[in-house]
Amino acid sequence: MRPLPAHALLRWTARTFGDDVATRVFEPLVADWQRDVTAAGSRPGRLGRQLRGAAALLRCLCAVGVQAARPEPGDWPRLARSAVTGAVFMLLGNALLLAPFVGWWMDRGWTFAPLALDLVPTTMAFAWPFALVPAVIRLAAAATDGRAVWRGRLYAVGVAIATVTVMAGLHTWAVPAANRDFRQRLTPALPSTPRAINPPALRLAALGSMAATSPNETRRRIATTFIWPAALVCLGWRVGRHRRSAHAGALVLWWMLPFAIAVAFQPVSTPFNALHPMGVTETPEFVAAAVWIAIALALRPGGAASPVVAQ
Amino acid sequence: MTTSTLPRLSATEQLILELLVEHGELFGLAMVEASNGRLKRGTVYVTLGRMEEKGYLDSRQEPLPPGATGLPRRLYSPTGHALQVLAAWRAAARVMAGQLSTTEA
Repeated sequence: MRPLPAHALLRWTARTFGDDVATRVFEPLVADWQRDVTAAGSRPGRLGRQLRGAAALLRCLCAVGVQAARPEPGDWPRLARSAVTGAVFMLLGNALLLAPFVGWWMDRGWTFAPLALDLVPTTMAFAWPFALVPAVIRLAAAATDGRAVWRGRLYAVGVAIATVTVMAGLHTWAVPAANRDFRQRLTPALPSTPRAINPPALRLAALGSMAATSPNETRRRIATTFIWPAALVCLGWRVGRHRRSAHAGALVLWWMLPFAIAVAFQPVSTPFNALHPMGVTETPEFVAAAVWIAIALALRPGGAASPVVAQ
Repeated sequence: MTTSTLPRLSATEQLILELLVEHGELFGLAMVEASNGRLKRGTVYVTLGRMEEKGYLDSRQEPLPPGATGLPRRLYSPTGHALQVLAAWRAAARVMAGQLSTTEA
């Protein structure tokens, strides 16, 4: 890393998290990163060290960000605090997932911005696990402070089932309907009909029938309806057994496994995929998955943002 | 004295102090390398910052070698207070282990 980007990065962290955090946390990280890269003998070696340093920086940003986003303990009832924190994480997740569309709207004029409302179900489906970060923190605290293992285990299972239900509902019905509406409203404003757009006359019931005849879509639905919940419940039972992996296990449970299954079962082209306004459905998943990996690593017991370690 | 005012030492903090006692002054990345994978590069700096805040560590910037560019590295060393806490923590662990073995016997 050259000095100039490092200084820009440190200025940004100082503005975002405060001078003290920038000096104590990010400055040593960047300094060690620079020296590590400089000490590499070959170009591939430098590249590897750059990547390891970037991963460490991302993880550190998540750890500090989670700590900064956590509300101050006050007199609020616990439920209200959790709800507010969940809402904050949900909004952050939505903002992250909608960010790629901003440039697209700017190209076509801001009159299309209200159409973003049609995309909210899509982003909500992917951002939903973000709202569960407070629950994960609570789960880990319960699992690591010596309380009954059963409690943490049941908690994990309950939250996993709720998560899957919400995500499956959004993915199966709300997202296709909203995306169809988005495309239909967009079509008159475009010079030509976008490739692979569904006929406007095609209603949701007809789309459902088309999907039912597609083997790929059938496999995807089976995965959404049966495999995700079954796998999540099985893993949920195991979360409480291993205190040290409670955080990472729970987060993997909530996101990475559905993500892996979705990728495995993701058809190349189905009526539902064709409804996506960008024609690319994987981008938000990859972004969200990367963020989740980082948060999971930061939140695990012994990690920097762990409530068990932070004293 | 309430339990909240007692000096506390997490497993990660204890590991960092033990490394510093063993190796002397170290910078963050060197601690990660010396820990054999027990410390993570992405979180060690947050822990080090917190330990400085708690008065467990002192730090100073390493003078840059001639011709070197970039930021100077930060070297950490344990404070006397941290060494006392570490000794007390080890003693408490020994007592607890002794009591446990007596109970089991």
